[in-house]
Amino acid sequence: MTNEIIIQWIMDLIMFFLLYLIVTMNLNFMYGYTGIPHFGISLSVAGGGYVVGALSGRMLRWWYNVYPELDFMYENGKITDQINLYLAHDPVTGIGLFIFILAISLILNACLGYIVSRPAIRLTGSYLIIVLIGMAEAVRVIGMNYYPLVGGTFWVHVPDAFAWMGTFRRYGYLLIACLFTLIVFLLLQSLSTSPLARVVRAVRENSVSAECVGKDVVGIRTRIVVLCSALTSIAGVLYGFYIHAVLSTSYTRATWTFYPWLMFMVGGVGNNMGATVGTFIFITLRRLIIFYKHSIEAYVPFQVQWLEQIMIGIMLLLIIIFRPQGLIPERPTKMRGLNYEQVEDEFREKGIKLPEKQAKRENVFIKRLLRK
Amino acid sequence: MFPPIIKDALVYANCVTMMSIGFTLVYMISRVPNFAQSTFAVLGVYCTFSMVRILEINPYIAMPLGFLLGAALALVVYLGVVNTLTKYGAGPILLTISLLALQQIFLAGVQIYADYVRNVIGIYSRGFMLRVNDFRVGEFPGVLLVSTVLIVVIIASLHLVLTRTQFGIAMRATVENAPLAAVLGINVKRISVVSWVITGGLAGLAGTFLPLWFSSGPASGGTLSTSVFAASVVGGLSSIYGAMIGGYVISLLEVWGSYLLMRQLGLWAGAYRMLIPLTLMSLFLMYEPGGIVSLIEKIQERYLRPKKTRRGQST
Repeated sequence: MTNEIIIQWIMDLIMFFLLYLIVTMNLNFMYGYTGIPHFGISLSVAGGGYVVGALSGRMLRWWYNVYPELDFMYENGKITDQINLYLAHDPVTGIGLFIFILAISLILNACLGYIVSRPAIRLTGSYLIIVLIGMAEAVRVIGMNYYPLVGGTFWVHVPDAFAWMGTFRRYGYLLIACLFTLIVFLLLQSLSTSPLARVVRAVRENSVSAECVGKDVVGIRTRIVVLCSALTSIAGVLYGFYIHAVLSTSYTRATWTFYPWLMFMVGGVGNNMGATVGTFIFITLRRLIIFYKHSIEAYVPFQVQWLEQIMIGIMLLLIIIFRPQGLIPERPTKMRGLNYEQVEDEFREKGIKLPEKQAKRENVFIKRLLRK
Repeated sequence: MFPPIIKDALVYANCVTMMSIGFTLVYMISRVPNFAQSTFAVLGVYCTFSMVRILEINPYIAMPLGFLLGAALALVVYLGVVNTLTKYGAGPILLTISLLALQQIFLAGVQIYADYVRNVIGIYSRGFMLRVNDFRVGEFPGVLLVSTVLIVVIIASLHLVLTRTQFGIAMRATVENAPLAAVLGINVKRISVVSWVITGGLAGLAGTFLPLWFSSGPASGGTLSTSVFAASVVGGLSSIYGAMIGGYVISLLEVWGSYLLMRQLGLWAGAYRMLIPLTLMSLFLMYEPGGIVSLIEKIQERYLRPKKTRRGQST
């Protein structure tokens, strides 16, 4: 029995790590590389979740013709149970549904990303943050109040598209989640070493000079937001299929905007490894807190989740104050297919000074300290 | 006689305007959107709640207390976090993140208080409305009168301070150009501290009025904050008078618009009330990013001032 609990705990840990990793990597690409402070990232996750909740059950009910006379939202559990019985012997429909939902979610969330970023993408900083926070709140309010979408403040069951895997299902789903996270990781990693990343960093560092050399700054910003919104929605889709339900109240600003921000601030802004490390540390910590929550709950006259929020907030403040660059600082982009030693030699021949390496500078600093 | 929708609109508008004045003031001086501000209002909400439900005394005693609590918290936020981070050279984005973190921390603190009141004292502490504890003058509720008088006093005194006193002139100089103001001997830090204290105090004060007319709880800061952001952005984030106009325009339109929509489409439309300020804000950002202030200036330029030739000489 305890063994079972430990396995479940580890699997939850890995799953949430993967889900949050998708979000943090996209966030990192938007803020760390392009300089778009997307404080409404929860809306893309919610968008993915809404697509799963609203479409998957309805489509399968139409496909299998289960209880066509019942109201979908009110008799949700009954319909989903019946659909799951069919799905247990129908891998083709299950996989087809999953891919179809994913595709729809990518397209819809790309559009959503365009719509929410449109008013303020020309402006930077505070205006953009205000608008994005407001938009995320709007998406949440719509999900909570528009009953036919995902059942308002109740939830909607999601059919188990991988029921045909049988007992292997929970490991199988983890593998699928791994696969999609890997795809997103590789995509963003290759983007971050591509010419696009250099343009994007130029936009981040100095948008005026980027515009002067003929780059369409607003266009690039918009494209990055659209791309990353679409990719982030994968996390929402995977989450919906993982817990077999979509709950509109779970896409709060704290859980899907604030925590991902914290994760990649911990790990280091501007590189994917930092985002990964930060996410792993944070998720482990959080799952541990959740695991031991009930043992603390008996001693305090309030819910432990508030204490958790306070702790996390203080942690973030300390990190911002004492280590704003994160655990793994950003390095200059390496271009693929370029011999760096040769470039350095050429630079030396021409008498161009190379920037000192970070490690060397630190050593000099330590030596000076020791001399004193 | 006096339709309740107007009372709703006016009380809400007074609260939003108080907060948007503070939001704009801090943005003008520190260039930081104060995202923690809505939590100060929640603090005010719980001040009134404690006065009425726990101590069972007059809710208006909460007013000075809410102001002082908000001001004290804002002082702590400014000196503890914003000032420290600015010293370390943090940009507006880092400040924003840290303010959001502070908002989470304070909100969690308020939630702990609410849980404590419910579990230990045994009083229901979320989603309360204290209309019955308010006094009435004729058909006007006390909160409407008091908040209207207060907002007039606040606007008048801010106007006088900004135009007639040395300190107000120093404040305006800091808004125009902080380094230059510092060179001329103005204590920029003191002005920032004062602006944060005013913001926190006004937000706490606005919060103390909310539960006397609306159903409130820990979440009421969130619903208020969209209106405040929209009001400040529509006001232009560049002048206090803009914030006042923006506050009234946005909140009156929000309440009236949702009322009209509810009458036309049905009660369900009321839940999407926050989309109205958001849409207005988006429209303004797309077509007139300077807000109402620059709109008024443009209208003045076009219709009221003498036309200028290309070289800038008036004809």
